[in-house]
Amino acid sequence: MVAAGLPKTGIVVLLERPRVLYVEDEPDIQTIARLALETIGRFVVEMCGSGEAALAAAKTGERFDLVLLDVMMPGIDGPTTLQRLREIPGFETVPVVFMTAKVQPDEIKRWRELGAVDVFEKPFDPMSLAARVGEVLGRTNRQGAA
Amino acid sequence: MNEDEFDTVLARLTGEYKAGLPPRLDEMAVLWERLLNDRTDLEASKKLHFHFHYFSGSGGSFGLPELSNESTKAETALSASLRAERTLTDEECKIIATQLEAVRRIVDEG
Repeated sequence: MVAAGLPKTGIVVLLERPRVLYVEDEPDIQTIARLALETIGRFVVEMCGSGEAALAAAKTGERFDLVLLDVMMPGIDGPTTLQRLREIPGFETVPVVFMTAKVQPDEIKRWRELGAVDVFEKPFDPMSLAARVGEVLGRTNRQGAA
Repeated sequence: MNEDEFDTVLARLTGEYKAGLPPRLDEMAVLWERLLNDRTDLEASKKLHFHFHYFSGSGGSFGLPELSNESTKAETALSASLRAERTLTDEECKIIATQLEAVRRIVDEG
């Protein structure tokens, strides 16, 4: 994301629409998430149906500001995908949010230890998903600028 | 896209989602029958788990939070046996049968 920071106020101005890589194997969820993120959040969304596809997309050199990553997927699961993403140049520090139907406190702790900046519970509310993504982007931008 | 158009698209997607539930549920019923006949049927167990996981993670996004809640209980029971690499216990079978019925009711009621 191209951001111009104003150090005295801490305000961050976004000059481009943030780009989100969403990794989810279920087409229904892909569709409603894309609708929510693109329409409400005005994000640019790249959708991948598997961990393998996400790794391939990451290797193209395309820039992403945030990755939303389903935990349980056929093939490479979310945590393994995250580990492999981190090995790809340009993806070492991209914020990753896990999406999971089971959110127990010990699981949240485990996902965070793996490097996730947040964990969103599924099913998500399509009306508030974009706001939650925006909040994470704002938070990680501030941390990055500090 | 304005708010009305967004609502229209959301309503269409929700309708499509709901229309896809009965065939999926029929497939789940077949898988459950297989498991009742043979609790060591790992393929049936994995597929049934996949379906409950799908309901669990998607129902609430399409206006059916109870579908998610009820499915999560069955998914948890199936996860426990799959993770431990053992057959389903009687208690887990009871939970799955109950939740399958609950899911059927939710789908029938739309």
